[in-house]
Amino acid sequence: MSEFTMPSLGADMDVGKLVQWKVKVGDRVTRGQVIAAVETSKAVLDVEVFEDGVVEALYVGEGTEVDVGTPLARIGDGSGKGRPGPETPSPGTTKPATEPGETIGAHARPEKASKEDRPLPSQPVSAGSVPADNGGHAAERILASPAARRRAREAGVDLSGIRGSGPDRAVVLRDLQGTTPGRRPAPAGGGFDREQMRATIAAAMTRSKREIPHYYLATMVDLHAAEAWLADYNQHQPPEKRLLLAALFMKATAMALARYPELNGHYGEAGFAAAPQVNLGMAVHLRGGGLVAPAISDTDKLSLPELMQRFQDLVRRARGGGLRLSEITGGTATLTALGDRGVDTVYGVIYPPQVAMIGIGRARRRPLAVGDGVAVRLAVDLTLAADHRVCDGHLGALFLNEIEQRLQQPEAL
Amino acid sequence: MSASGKPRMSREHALRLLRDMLRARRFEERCVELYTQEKIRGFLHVCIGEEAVGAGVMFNLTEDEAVVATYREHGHALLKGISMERVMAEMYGKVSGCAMGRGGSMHLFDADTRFFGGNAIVGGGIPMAVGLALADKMQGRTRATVCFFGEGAASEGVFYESLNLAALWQLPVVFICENNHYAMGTPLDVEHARGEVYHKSEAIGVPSERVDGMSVVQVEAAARNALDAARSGKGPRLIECDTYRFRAHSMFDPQLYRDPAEVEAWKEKDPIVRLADWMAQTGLIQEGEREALEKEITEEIDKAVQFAENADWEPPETLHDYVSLPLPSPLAPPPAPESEPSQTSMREAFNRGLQEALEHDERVFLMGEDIGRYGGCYAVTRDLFAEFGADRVRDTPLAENGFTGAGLGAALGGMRPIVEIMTVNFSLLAMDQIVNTAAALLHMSGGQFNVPVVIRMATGAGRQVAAQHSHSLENWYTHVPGLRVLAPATVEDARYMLWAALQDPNPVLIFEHVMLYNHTAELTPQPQGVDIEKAAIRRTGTDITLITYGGSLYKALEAAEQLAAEGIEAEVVDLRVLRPLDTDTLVESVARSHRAVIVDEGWKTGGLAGEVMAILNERAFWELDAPLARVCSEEVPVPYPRHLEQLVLPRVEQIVEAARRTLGEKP
Repeated sequence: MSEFTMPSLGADMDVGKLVQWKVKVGDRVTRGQVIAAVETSKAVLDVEVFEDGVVEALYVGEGTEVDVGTPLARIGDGSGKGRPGPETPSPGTTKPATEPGETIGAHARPEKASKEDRPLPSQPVSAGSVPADNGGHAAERILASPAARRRAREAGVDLSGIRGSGPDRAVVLRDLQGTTPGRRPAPAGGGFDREQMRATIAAAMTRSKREIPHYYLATMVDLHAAEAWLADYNQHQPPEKRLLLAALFMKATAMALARYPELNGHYGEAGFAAAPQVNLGMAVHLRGGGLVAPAISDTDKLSLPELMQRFQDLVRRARGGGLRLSEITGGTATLTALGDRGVDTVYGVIYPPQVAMIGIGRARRRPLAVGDGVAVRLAVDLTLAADHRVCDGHLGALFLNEIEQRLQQPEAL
Repeated sequence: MSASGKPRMSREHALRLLRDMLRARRFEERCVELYTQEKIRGFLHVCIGEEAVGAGVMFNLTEDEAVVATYREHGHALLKGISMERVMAEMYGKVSGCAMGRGGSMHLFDADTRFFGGNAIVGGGIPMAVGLALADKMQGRTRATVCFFGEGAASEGVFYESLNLAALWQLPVVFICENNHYAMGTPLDVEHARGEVYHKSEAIGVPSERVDGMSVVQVEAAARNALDAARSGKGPRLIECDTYRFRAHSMFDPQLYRDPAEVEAWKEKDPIVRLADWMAQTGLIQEGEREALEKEITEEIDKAVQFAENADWEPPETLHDYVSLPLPSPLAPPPAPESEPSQTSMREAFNRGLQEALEHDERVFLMGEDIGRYGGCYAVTRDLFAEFGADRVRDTPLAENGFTGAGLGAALGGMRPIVEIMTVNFSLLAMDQIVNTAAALLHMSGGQFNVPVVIRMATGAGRQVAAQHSHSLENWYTHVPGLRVLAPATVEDARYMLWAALQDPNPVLIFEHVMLYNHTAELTPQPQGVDIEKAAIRRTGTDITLITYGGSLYKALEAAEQLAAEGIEAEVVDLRVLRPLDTDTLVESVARSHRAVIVDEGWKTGGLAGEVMAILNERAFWELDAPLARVCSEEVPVPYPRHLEQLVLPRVEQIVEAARRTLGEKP
């Protein structure tokens, strides 16, 4: 039995807004279950409960901003006879503040009263005498080195959820390899700070153009084979399982990246390091402005249906909130497609510390020379923006050709 | 009036003695008044009643003869020739004071008149006076140095140490014991089993006498004889002046310890009244002359008060001025550097550095226990006695505070002494001289007196010499502003740091780790010498920084090799200069590696390793990717048996383990 308190979700978090309760009084919860959404200055984050039990009381209403450490709910065994809530009824109090089944409204701020009015203990409090439920909060603190915290802050990354490999499992710099400045998980509820996102994108792109000597290549890809194969495949599938061309682009790109590791990895302080796996990021435009580029790990090893399903899930979560940190930070190269915005060609800006941005323009029918004649074929402009510090145009050309070749053999994707 | 009080004294002579005593008396009376008005703060110790001593002694001093005085020294300062205006401004704490206002009542200094304080550690000035006299003697001068102290100082060990040195070396110093019967409030018969201080000094070997300190004529006569003896090479003298202070010890003193009747009885012997009466009887003073004298002195005091009132406070911006004087830039290269690389032990390297200094700078001399005939307890000074003789390789008695203080005094007197203390454990006996005097003197005197002394000592454990010869206490000295603390760990630093240190106008402490004396390596010639300001990166690496110094350097380097075998590249930073710490090198290294382990043979609590960690926390916090770690000695006195001694000291495997822990999981 314990108080479920407003967690600290970052070293600089002092207050959080309870955006949404995902449980109601009387619900049985299990350890690890997400029971609320909390908005911090950075994002809306899911918060989980750390024990099994029954929600006996919700102290704080949705939309309420409270200090870190403020009790939000009581988790008990369902008897309602656990430790009293923060408003301990004293003799003479007319009504217990927190009966099971009662929700206190947003305006009720028991935590404030208790915080300000609580008398100091007359005796020094020893560790053994501290109630266990108060100790639970400390365990939620994210262990991270100062350098990792600074990197995370600069990159706009939330450290929660990152697996630490440092002393005491603290998050250290190497755990943030691939963290890309300027991107953050899109929060649920559309509550992200547009100005801040703009600022972080600005910082990342400025860094990219300042530090990375881009070179650009473009080629037109005949999509006749891909289109035919896709039509054939999709006609046997229910609508929800049909594939889009995007899946083919992604798979072909990922396979080409696996073959050309000079385009797949990160350029850090010690120079370029190729990534051991291909995590292709997808630039996702957010409604209301902004951009994220979550990645799908081991993109080249997924089957097309898996890839399609993962891609759709990713876009949905990017726009609706709930991206995982590894998705935000783990990309090894990024693909951007602006075809559905009606442009033929897109030259990307590399997303540091990545070294390649692959652009897909609008797939449309064009007159192409086929054999000795001219045919109207579905075609797309495929582009590459790559980091000249790492490789030259020769390699970039081979890479684009590799994608093109693979798109000519869709059955092998 | 006694027989000796009837010399044929000229009118001018008598008038000057009267005037000197009156100046001191009236000045202090005004100081007491100003104290009540809060113009003067802190301690104020007046010598009212004792003026005959200062006046009688100073009468025969030449301008360039040095005076070392106590904290009850206003009269001495005035009579040595410092202007009353500068003394009064110092009482006020104003920047125009004779110590820039930094010393106040207890610390009056003046380089022009060679007035060396104003020393508020009882007995602390005595070895300084011995050293000043030593410098004069070694430089062939025939002037005397005068040292004032009270009978309370004769209870201090440094009194015996210093007088013994003066007697052993037959130095031109005159000790004036102002026996005013109370050490603060402790009566003579409670402080001394035998109250005659001159018996003690006589027993040590300093010809001594006792005079009526309330008779300026007697004091003057005795001082004249003593000064003549000192100047003519007859060695030191001590005069015990039986005297009494009429007022309280300080303004805080309710005088519970003495009977007012006793004070009244002594006032009957007031030296000013006695001299004035005698002069009136003998016609040495004319009608109206006393009044004119008083008027003149009152005007001088009024002017001094006005000067002090109008003087400025030292601006806050100069607070750190004169903590140390700057090193010359560039440092002069060593005069006789090696031209070819050669296999050299640290011991040989230190020895060559000393030999070079003795050969190329005649102001340099060595002093310490067993450095001459014995050859040095670690044989660092071997053969130097034979080459340079007993004067310049000067064996001392076992009197660390005394001979270290004499070293400071000799430095103040123009020499470049290199003092050897056998081990840092023994240096604690000299800590007063190092910390209270050497380190503080320049700032306290408002930039007038720097102390260019080099003090070498052995440090560290590993030779099974147990708890009183094995500790690493260098961090105690790194705490102290005004000191430079060096820890050579390579043959090059051992060979060349000394020459650089001798050019430092400030006190320099050199710590030589006992386990490194036999360390042998190829000495790379350094024609430009080595610097004594920067830390040295002894091995480069990107994954972690191992910060160490002295005897732990080679452990850290070995740990770095073991870590390299695991794919961890450690950078090893040798601090070399423990104060002032080269924090930039530390911060820059950690900014590259993001991790650090500090290895320090000192104990952990309150140690240098903790200081380095604090600096990194202050200046490199956001660079840190792991908690800083330290490997220090176990917090026990170093035991004798080898297996326990080794257990106490930092070990290579501990360093490797600390580095691994710091790195966490392998990348």
